[in-house]
Amino acid sequence: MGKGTEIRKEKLENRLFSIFYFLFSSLLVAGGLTANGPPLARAAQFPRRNEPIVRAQGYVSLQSVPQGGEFRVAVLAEIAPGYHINASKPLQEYLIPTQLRAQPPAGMRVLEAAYPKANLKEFAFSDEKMAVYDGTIVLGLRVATSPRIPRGEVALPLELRYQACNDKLCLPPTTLPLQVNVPLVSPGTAARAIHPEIFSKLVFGGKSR
Amino acid sequence: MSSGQKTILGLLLVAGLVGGAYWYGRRSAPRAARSGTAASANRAPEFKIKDLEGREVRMSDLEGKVVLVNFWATWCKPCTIEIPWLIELQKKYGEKGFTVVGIAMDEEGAKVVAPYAQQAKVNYPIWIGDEEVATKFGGILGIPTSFLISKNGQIVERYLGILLAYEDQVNEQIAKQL
Repeated sequence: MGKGTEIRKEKLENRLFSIFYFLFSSLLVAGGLTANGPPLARAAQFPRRNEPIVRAQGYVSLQSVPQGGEFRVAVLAEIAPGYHINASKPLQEYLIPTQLRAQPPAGMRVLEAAYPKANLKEFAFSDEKMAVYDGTIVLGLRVATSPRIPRGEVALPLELRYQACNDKLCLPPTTLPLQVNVPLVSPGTAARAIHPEIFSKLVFGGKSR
Repeated sequence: MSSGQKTILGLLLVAGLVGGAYWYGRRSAPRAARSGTAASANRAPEFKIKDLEGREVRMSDLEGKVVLVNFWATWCKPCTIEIPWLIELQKKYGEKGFTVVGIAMDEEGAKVVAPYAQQAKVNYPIWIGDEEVATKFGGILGIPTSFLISKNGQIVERYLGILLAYEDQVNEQIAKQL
C-alpha cells in the first residue's frame, strides 16, 4: 500500500469519525429532547393560572349617544386556541351558557342581547355534538336611554360569563368584568356610527342565534 | 484513526448505551408518571367537607382503603362522560377495599349535584368540594383531575384530564394497591 493510499485512508477514517461524532451527538441531544418532549407537550395543554382563556373588549356603536336614544354595545372576545366556551344555548342540560350581562345605571335599559351562531362540534370526550364558540366572537346588547339621563360620559359595567374547556378538561366558570363608557349628548345631536366592522357581525331583532 | 479517536469513539458508544437505556426507561414509564403530573409519594391532605346529605366527611374517614379521588362538576362534559366508567370501577373493586370519591366543584353545591348523581345512578360517595380542598391537593388547574391514594394515605398517582385516557393504567394501579 503506497503512502498516498494510507493518507487517503486516514483522511477517510477521520471524515467517517467526524460524521459519526456529529450524528451520535445529534442522536444524544434528540434522545434527551424526546425523553422530555411528551411531558412538556402535555403540560402545555393546561393553562397557567394567570393566563386568561378569553380576552374581551367592549365597544359602543355611536360616537355620541343622544339622550333618549338607543345604542348598541359589542364585546369582541378572543378565545384561546384549543379552547371553546359553551354557546348561549347549550344543547345539553347542566352546561353553563355564555352570557353577556350589563348592570345599567339609572336611565339605561337593556333591550336585548345578541349572540353569535354556535358551532356544532364533536369532541373526543363527548358522544354527542355540542354547541360552542371558539376563535373570535362578537356578542352584543341593545340599550335604550332615558331622555332624562344626565349628559356626559356614563359608565356601563358589563360581565361576560363563560365556562371554557379544551378537548381534555374544563376550567371553572368565569365572570369577566368589562366596561364601556357611553358619551351622552343632548337630543338632536347627530349620532355617528363607529366600529362598523365589529357591529356588522351582530344580529339583533330576535334573529340572534 | 488515532488511539485518541478510538478512545473517544469507545466512550461515545458507552454513553450511547447509557443514554439509550435512560431514554427507553423514560418511554416505558407509566403514562401519568411520565406526564410530569404525577404527584410524588405525598400524603393525601386531610380536610373536612360535606357529602350530598350534608354530613361532615373527612379524607381520613377513608384511611385503609385505596381511594380514587375524582374532582368533577355537573357542567363538565369530560367529567360526566366518565361517570359510567367510574361506576364500573366501583362495582369491580368496591368490595376489595377500594372506593371512588367524587368531589363535585359545582358552586351551587348539593342542590344541583344531588339530582345529577341520582339521575346518573352514581354508586360511590359524592362530596361537595371547594377551592380550599382543591388547593390542599396542590391546586386543580382544570377538571377532571383525579388522584389515586394508597391504603396508607399516600398519593400514588395524579391524572390530569379525562381519566378514561388512562384506563389500563388506572386498573393496573388499583389492582397493585389493593
